[in-house]
Amino acid sequence: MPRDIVIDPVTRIEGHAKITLRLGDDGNVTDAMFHVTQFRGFEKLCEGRPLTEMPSLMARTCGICPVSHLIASAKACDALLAVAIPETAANLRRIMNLAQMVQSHALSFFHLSSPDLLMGFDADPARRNLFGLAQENPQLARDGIRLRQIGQSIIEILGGKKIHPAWAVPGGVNKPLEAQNRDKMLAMLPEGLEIAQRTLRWYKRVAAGFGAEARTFANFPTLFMGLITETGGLEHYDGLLRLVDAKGEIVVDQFPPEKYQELIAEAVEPYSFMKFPYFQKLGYPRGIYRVGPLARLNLVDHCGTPMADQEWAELREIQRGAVLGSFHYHHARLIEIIFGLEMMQRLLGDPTILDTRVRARARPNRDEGVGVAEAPRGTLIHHYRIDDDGRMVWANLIIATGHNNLAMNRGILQAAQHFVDGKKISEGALNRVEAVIRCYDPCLSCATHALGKMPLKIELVAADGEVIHAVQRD
Amino acid sequence: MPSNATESPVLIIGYGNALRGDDGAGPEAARRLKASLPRRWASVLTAHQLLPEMAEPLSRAQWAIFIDADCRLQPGRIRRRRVRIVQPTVADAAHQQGPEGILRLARDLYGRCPRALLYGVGAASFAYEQALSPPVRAALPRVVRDVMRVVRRASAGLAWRLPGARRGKRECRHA
Repeated sequence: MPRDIVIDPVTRIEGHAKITLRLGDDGNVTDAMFHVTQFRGFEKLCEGRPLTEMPSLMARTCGICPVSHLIASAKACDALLAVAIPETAANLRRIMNLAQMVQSHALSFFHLSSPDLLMGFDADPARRNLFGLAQENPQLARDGIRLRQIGQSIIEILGGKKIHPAWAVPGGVNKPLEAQNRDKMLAMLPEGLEIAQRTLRWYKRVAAGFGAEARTFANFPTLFMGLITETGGLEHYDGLLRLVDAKGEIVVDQFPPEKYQELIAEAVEPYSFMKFPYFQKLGYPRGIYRVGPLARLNLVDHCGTPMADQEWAELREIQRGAVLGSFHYHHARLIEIIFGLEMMQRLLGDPTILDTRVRARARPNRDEGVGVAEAPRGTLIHHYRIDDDGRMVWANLIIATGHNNLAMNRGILQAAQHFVDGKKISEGALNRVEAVIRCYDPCLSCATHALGKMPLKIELVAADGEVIHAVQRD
Repeated sequence: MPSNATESPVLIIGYGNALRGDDGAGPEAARRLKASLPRRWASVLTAHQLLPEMAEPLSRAQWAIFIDADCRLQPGRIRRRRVRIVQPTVADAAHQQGPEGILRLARDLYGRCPRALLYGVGAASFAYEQALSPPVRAALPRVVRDVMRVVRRASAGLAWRLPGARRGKRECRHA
């Protein structure tokens, strides 16, 4: 009789995670749980703060994707002011959001995942990290660093600093773009595109050698959710929600994101601090859906830029309907980098980007506001309520990684059932279970962005509750 | 990382979390140095932690100076040491890098790395606060003075001499 395992968080900081695999009477894996053992509490600590502080405050949620929170928060505040921000301000925010996507995807692909792809999942963990990558394929490592530099430099040029820029404000942005800064950004983009294309070619060559992983890394039917443009194109800043099913058929379309509560509900489980959002119509836990790069490319009708469109069409050839295997998140991430760089070129090439009217000023005109944007890892929702003085009284955040929580849990079960033999965990099996999580590039604050390996504990628990084998990484 | 981060011969990196008390010693020292040192002598970066992206500007510097809080030292005590490249452990590669790891990346990826010093500042508190403790506040002017002295010598092309170090001894191979 399987029994529950009591989890005490090892720590509330640094994003420590734990995976429990439960065995049945026959010694095979019957259940798997991904425990997020940290608690942030930003929804509570923002209560009482003036709405004008929210974008900067919320950016502190994360050191990796602060721009996502900055943007979603600023959009929620726009809604509270009841203003339509100037188009140039929206495009400047869009550029910063894309720059962050480029640098964040580069971190995930080059620094965290490419060591597995380059050296194999069974390679010595002492080599299977950024340092090993630097020795085995310095060009790949340099490319990752350069792409990150390009993304971060654009964020810094726009917002004054690479991390936690206080630039997007309720009503727009706090500074227009100067021509010389536009030119600096434009000058970096061709090199970025060259790197992204070279890397995608490399990825396609090596990915062919990971057939078992592609088949078993969270490869199952789910819904996919994300923002789209009015014409069904790829959209990261604004737009409307679409959900497609595993066959790629549209389930919900052109849905106003501020009404997300009509689509999504949130469940909690006692073993994790991370919430479990689900598609309401299907109930919990059947309402499993995925967000992020692969989800976005599964639900759009096109990307909207030439090179990305070409690569998107090739990705969609992998499988009829939606591409279901989460291993392909890596592929999707690289396509989105290309899209981000192309789209930034387009936006910066438009002379109106230098318009000096970049902020709408108003007092609070609504009690409630929702801001939704696509973070690198998926749809990010900020929902605020304020009092008559414009002070926060309530907030709800649905973080991109949270949307994927059900899929991550189910994904590690699938991988464990395939790779774990029920008696003892090999390092390679451990790494594959971990790599399923890594496909989603989860952001549990910053710790899951570990270089090479994240702090992780895996236990094999027999049907009578006995811990047969445990492997821990600190 | 701005591409012009190392127009100067010396790159100073002060790192730590300024919201965690004395962990902000490195960034605070770096800010003071940035205000005092001519750009032609030294470029100065502040950061929460060392990042792989720093390997590239480090590879273009002749000398690097890292400044960090150190919980192993007595509060306010300053320890200056040469940084040498070492083989990273699995733990080093798992979550964050020290100066040794970043220098190693500079060498492995860009073919050269600078000679480097690490200033450790003994910390008293890493509590949630922006203020530095009195011993660390008192120590910072000494750190700044010493770094400026080193930078002046480096910029003048003088050998970078440290107690116990042989003149001209290199900390890592230059390609």
